Amino acid sequence: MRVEALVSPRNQAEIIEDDPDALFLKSFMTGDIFTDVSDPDAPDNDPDRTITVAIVGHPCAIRQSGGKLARRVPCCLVGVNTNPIEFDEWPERQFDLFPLGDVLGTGEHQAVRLAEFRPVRDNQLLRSRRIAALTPRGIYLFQQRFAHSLTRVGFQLKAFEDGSKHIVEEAELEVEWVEEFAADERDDKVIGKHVKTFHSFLDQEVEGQPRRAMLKREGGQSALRKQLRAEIKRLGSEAR
Amino acid sequence: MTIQSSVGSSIARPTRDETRTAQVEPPALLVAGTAELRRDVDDLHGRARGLHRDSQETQLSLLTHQLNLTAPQALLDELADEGVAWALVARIVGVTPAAVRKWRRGETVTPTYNRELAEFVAFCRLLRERNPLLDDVDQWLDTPAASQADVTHANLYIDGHRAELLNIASSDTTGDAILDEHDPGWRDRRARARRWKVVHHEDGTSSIVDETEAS
Repeated sequence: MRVEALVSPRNQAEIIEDDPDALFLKSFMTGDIFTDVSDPDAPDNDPDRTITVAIVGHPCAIRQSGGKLARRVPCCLVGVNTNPIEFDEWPERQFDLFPLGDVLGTGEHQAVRLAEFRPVRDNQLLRSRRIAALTPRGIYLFQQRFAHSLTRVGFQLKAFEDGSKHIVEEAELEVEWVEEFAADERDDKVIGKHVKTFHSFLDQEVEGQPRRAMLKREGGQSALRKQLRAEIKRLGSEAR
Repeated sequence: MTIQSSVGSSIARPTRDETRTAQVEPPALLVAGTAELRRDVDDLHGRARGLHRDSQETQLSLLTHQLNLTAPQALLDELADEGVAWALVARIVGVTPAAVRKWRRGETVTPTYNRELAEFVAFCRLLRERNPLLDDVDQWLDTPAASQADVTHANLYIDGHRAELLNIASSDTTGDAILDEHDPGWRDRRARARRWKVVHHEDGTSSIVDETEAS
């Protein structure tokens, strides 16, 4: 039966971001895919047994303050889909999968197995191990499919957009900040330092409220974006 | 009817349907006349709208042409000062966010995309001209354009209704009217998601709940 509320993407580029620069600079988000991660379910805790996983938790649930990941991050296993489907078949079947195609470089017809959970330690989820991330629309599609997989309720995509938009916006501002100061950087720790500075900027109070609150206010996002760009310019000219 | 003449013979007077010249036109004629007038007005209205749209498109096209000669970095800087999100720029221009990121770092923009960028900057400038009270272009583009559908002004821009969007900004038309003209049946196909609503909790988290429960 076709679940009309479930949205099918037009193409891979609509949902998956595989630009290597972006993968290093973006903040950790729902749908991020990491490879070479130690399997927390490995027999005898064998550290050599590695898996590929996708973060499934909501951005609020996977991160602590300062943009750091939570100690355990809810993830799902990524593996081969032996019976690949077309995009327009997404609302019709394989509800426990989120197809990824072959963009990961780990083989053809990969998919997130939405019913195979793994609580992955934060030290396993390194930027250098991130092989794909989702676009904002990809994140909402992923959440919709995951929620349907758990509940069999086809929530409208707009509801997921409304529920995560402010976080997606924050993530975009974070990448704008980080790439300004560390565009060519490939060290997780150095990038983490810039992420922390970014969050300090968001936590600064303006008119009695942290800047972060602007993300949830109507019209606040673009006002915050202007403040951030002005701050980047100021810091840039100071550095020169 | 007959009258008696003085010589005794009777004279037949011709019968008449009307005793005087009609002062009021028969309703059928009136309906036909007003229908014609209405057709003429509709025709004139349509021509005026078409001319106005053409002139807006010409203005947008001329400004785009001028801006197309500007370096892409300057166009991107103007959008940055406007506070437009890069993800929105990517959607508008029709590329991935990664491509916009690369342009900002100085990578070459192809002539096709440079023109798209120039047109978007031209559009933003004209938008402010049409409605000087418009404070936030980014927010306006992200605002629903129609009353009963999840269609934003940005969606209409991407669908090519650029001149008409300028009319929305100056309150000369509505998103509903644009969709009625170009996308009959949009009310059914693009109906707003009404059943669920997002509520934000005090601890900063959010939940999806039934809309009736949230109100």
